[in-house]
Amino acid sequence: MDSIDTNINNPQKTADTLEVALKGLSMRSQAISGNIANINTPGYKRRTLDFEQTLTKQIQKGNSYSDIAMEKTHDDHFSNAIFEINEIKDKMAMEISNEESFHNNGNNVDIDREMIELAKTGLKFKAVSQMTKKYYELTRGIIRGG
Amino acid sequence: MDLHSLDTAATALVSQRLKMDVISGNLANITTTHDSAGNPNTYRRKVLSFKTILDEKNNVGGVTVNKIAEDNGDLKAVYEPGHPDADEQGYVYYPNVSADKEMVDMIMAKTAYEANVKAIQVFKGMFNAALEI
Repeated sequence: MDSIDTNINNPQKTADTLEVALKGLSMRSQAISGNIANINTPGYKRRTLDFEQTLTKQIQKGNSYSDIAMEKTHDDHFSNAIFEINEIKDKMAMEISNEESFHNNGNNVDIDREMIELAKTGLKFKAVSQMTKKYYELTRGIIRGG
Repeated sequence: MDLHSLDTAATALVSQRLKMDVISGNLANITTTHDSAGNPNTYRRKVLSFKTILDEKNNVGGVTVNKIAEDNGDLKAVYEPGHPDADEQGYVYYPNVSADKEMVDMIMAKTAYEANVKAIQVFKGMFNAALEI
């Protein structure tokens, strides 16, 4: 119950984390979509998006400080490690992979890898959206008192 | 969750389908020695090239047809003295279309098309999941 308690005390945290994950997975699906579309385009380099590492770091940072977080009374104040997950959302950007090309036309898209990434992204998205749904069901239950 | 990934996959479907059209045109004209006006003018293989359409914000995007050009490779000279299109030496110049090459291109276009159809199915599943939140 500990984790639920913490999350209920700071309800925005769970919702924010889930939102960042959904946004990240949605952006990754765009990258994969572009990669698959350009499978035969000469010179195309695959796009990737990694947000999990930054998100994990931010969550850990948030967890270790969340109990002592102070109110921000002015916009120019330092945040004192308040869970600032929205920053990740704005900073998420696709990267162009410089991996060596398998083809002599300079294209480094590997269809097998993209299809696996596609399946993974689709499943993860479904999992995260289920979690979001359950989270709101839980919150609703608490508001109603069970 | 926006619909960009579906749009991107759609651009690929359009491009790969056009590639299929070009390939079937090449195969259909594999022995064509006259142009559409009926003048002696051997058909030349059409080659299609792709280019990326980049979305400035995310630096990612779909694909479109760059251009459809003619293959400048040598025509196939076949010795057929009795043929109405034969030159003084008795050679008929047939199109530089190779059925093997077209078949390989066709498989590539088909694979790419199918990969994009599969991607569209996955994206649709993702959108549906997002709608159920």
